[in-house]
Amino acid sequence: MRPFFRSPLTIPSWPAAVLFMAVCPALVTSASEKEPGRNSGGEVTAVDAATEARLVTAGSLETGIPAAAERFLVLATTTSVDATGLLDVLADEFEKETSITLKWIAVGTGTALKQARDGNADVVIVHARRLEEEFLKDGFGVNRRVIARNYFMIAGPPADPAGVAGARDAREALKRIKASAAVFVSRGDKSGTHTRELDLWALAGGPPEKNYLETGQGMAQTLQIATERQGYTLTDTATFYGLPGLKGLGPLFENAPELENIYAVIAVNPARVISVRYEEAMAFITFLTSPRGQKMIGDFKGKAGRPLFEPMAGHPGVDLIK
Amino acid sequence: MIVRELVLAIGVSLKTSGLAALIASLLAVPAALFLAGRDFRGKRALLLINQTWMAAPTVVIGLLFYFLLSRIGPLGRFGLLYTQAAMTIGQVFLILPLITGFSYTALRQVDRRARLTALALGASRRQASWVVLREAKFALLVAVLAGFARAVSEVGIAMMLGGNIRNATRNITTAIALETAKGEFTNGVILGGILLVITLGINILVQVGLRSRD
Repeated sequence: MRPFFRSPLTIPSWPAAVLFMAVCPALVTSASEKEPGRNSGGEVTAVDAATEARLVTAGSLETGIPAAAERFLVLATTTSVDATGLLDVLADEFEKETSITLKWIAVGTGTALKQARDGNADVVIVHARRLEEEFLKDGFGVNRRVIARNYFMIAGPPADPAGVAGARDAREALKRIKASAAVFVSRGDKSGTHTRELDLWALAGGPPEKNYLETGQGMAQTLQIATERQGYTLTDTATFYGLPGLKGLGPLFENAPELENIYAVIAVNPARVISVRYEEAMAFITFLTSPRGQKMIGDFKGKAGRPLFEPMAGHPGVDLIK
Repeated sequence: MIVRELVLAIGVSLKTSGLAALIASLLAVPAALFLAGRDFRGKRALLLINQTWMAAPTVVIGLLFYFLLSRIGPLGRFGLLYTQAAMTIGQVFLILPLITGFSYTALRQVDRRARLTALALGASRRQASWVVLREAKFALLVAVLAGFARAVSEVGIAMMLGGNIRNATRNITTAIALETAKGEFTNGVILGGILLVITLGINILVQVGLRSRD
């Protein structure tokens, strides 16, 4: 009797290879058609229309296909507004009001600003004043508006081996973590939270040399890693309270005035980055700072059922950058 | 990305995947020897499962072990998630079917008379198995190296179970993903080149092994 499984090589692999090679370029092409990237808006719309036309002739028109004259906007953002679900709510309402589709990449403040400089975003939501100042000074950003705030906090293992809960201020809390050689999990990704964390470590005499883990990932993922490794981390309150199932991590040090966290929206300067959809970006900024947009931000409750962001557009003097 | 970090990431890749290939081989080759040596009911089904498992996406294996190793999971008390050990465990289960399948093929292609002759000459079952293994040694080497190549080039398990922690669980592939996400394409390209050089080295090893067989 011939064995069923003689050799993987007897399976005719070349038809599969040919199929794969035929499908791959098609996939890449269709992906790049959808890619907003640096292409001008007109090109993308034309391709979308063509795609739709093909689908209509094929008689397979589905509800999810965008309208031919779709207007859209690319936002590069800090991860917290995405991970909490705030952007889902805002994007729906914004599209209803203006017929502009909001597409966003949640990458952290540092990367968001870099993406904007590279022409891969039209508008950014960020929260690191030092990086924002650079961005504006270099002429890449215009019309910065403060939209919301919350606070940073130190989360960690509920047993609190470093005794962070009793610290007088953030500086002392970090000093205690460093002294106890407990694990500290850092974003390590040049995000707004990472920038603030480094500023705070500078006050506490520099980050620890031991047990200092840099994840290079978003806040939600970093909190997961802190949970698993039973380490401390600096997080924004929105992501911490907005995430369900963070049972292994407790809020240890919070409500400190020096940990205020201000979110701002900035349009990319069309004079500097030609491909920018400036009109759409300004419509988004107008929407966010409008009483309606601000009310949505203030009313937004994550899965924890508590407000996560405090609307701030009504306080134009707050954190003004000239 | 500084050179020290780069070297560490390469070290993590070689260490976790090398260990995974070693452990998987120690499990897979005996299994293949067992399967190749006899016919029994359900063997076809077993091979079919093995063949299917070979195509399991890395992220599915990552997801499975995420649940198992997470602190709320059944193996949570060991605190293994986001360590190099977790990466190795995931990769072992990724390449286990691959090495088993290739080894099975290799052992199956050994002339059956080799085993029979050995037994006829008075060899014990263990000694006869050793004869078969020696006959197929180069093909087995190919199987093991193919397993290593699969482990060292995957990104899903390393990202989900390792967590891409700098200087700890960041390997070549997760570093490429991170550098690309940061827009540091040059670093990504360099790392990709290094990975290809490592894979090239493995392929040269395989070729040398095959040539010395002739």
